[in-house]
Amino acid sequence: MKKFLVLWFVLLMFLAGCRQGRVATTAFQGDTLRLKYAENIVIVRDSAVTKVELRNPWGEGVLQTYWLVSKEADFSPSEGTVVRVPLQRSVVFSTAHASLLLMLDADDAIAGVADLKYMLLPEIHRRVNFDEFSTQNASEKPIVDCGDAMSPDIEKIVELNADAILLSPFENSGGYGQLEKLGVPLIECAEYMETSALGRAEWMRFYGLLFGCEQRADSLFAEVEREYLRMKEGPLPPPSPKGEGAVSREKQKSILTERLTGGTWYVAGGRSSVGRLIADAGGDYAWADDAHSGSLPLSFETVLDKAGDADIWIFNYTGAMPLTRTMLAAEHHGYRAFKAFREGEIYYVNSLQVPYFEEASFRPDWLLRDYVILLHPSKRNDEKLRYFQKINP
Amino acid sequence: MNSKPLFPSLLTALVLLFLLNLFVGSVEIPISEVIDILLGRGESKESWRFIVVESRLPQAITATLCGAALAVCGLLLQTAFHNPLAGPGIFGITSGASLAVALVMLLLGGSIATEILHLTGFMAILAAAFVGAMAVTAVLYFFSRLVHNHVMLLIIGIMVGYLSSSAVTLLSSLATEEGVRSYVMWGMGTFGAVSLRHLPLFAIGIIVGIGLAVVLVKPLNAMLLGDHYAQNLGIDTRRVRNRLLLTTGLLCAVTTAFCGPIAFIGLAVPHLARLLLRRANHRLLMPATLLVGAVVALACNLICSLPSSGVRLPLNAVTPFFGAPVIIYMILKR
Repeated sequence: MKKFLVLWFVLLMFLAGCRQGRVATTAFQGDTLRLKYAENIVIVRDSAVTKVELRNPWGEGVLQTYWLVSKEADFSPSEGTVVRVPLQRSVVFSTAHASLLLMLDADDAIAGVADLKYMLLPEIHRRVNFDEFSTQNASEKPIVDCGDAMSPDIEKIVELNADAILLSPFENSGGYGQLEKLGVPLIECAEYMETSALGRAEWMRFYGLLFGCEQRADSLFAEVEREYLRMKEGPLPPPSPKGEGAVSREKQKSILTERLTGGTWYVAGGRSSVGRLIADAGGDYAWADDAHSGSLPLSFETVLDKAGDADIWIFNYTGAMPLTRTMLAAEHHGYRAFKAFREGEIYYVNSLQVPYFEEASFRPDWLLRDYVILLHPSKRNDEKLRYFQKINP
Repeated sequence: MNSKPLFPSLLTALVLLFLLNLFVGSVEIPISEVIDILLGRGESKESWRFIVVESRLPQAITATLCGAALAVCGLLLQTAFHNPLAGPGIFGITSGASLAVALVMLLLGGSIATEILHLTGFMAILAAAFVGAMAVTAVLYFFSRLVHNHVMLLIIGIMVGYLSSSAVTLLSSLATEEGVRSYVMWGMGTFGAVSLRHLPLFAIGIIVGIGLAVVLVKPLNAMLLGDHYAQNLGIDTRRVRNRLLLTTGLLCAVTTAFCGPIAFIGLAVPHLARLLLRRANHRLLMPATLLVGAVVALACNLICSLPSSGVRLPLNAVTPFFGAPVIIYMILKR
């Protein structure tokens, strides 16, 4: 029975093959684009169609299958989502992707954004506050503010006639509600679930395909990869070689991450992106052997016991005022027991003021550089940190 | 006489649980080391010394005082309003504190900065919670002078609670993710936020409140048999009620300010004490409630630090989980 169906199907394909643009999905053959680091995405291309398969990062199976076809092509696959590329009127929900599109010079294709308040991107804000009657931005197209990413303004998205929505999926999300019913392809940007920084950045090649700037994306990634590996192998130029040209070896610095939130200290797991950055930057981490790729919820006591002697302490901070040690101690009296606190070796990223979330996903080389500088104090006088700042005494 | 063996056993349980809270935590410290650290002798790891003296000890003391305070609040409210379901939360006092904290965390970004006052972090939350709780207490006190009926006053309290909740919902919808997360975390309650430095302030507040409550024992006994009976004995029930409101307001304000809104202890412990004591005489019931409250709070604090992976359970998840089955069991046993 099965054989008969296959034969019949093949016959149909022969007949259909005369028509231009029709492609069979079951017998899809193409060249697999070689992705060196990304594990959750597979890209297969042939002359007319590109098939992108996103693996489910939380379990088994496929998260999504996208068929990237040109606008004129006639294509109806049996499964998966058809995306007409290059995208020209997309809605972007995350600052990381908006920032990437700016880096790739493809930001014209952004027609709408969500979570605007989290975007530290002046170009986007300018286009959102578009003034029709101003001659200054005559060449710029306006961007529509579509509200909150968790509960976006559906009416605005419908009105702007989007050709795709780029959002971040999460585990057990239970669907996207009304967004799914709009008939607009939802691009589930799951790169944040990649376990390696380069793997995450490599997803930019997928976005390059979506926005018709694959060559720029490929060369950008090549640059990112080059810089990252350069940082990893032999960080910054050695200060002065000691004896026979050998690089002076500083004692490996230990580092602690995150702070208490409520009663729990969510430290970065050993195989999380931060954990791996620390390892790549040559730092010592109390949970380096831990196998979690997310964070570990621990008590204050445990963290004090295991990492109380860490040389450096880093975390994210959102606040209008610069952080001081007094303010930090006011948050929790126990912080005073940490060596890093006593010595003032605390560095934080104020994500309200520096484009950390904008750049960290796709320019991990810049972030790695900061980690390398932090972990190699002799470099600190010469090199400026891009994201981190030292706490005020 | 059932009361004879009860108080010694409660005291023993209290001391035992207090010590257990010092010996047990997410980090394993040998008991001999803990004793050495407490007695100030011997060379111990610095982090261990810190954990025992500046983390576990204040937590145990805070739990003891907080449990006693909330339990006595519940007792006062249940007797005065003749309502077994009355507790510190029902009057909206903790809701008022929560709203004030939400205003500071979600709207003002976690700090209070005015010309005369600049508070951040814990102090800001503390001040906000205290002010919020006392504000609601003042409102209830005002209504208490107007409204004669107990039930009406309770309903007003509940309405105040609803108003606060809806305001908090609005603030949450407008706030950032970090703000909402911080607020939810605060709402989970903890005994660990009081440092050794702040402990005296906290202790004074609680002890003053409990002192005020103890003074009310005699009128409360009279009110057990009804308001008219009490009035016949010469008790001014309205005045007692007002003083009671101020006392519970103060105690709730202090506990919520330092520990966050703690669920269940105020409601359930008086019942537990009554079941254990089998007497309604407040001369015995109040000390029993204080002791049982402290014991329950210490037990919950202990459970919170039990998970071996180092995770700390949120307090408000443990308190009902621990106490509700105990109550049901005791009721069924009778």
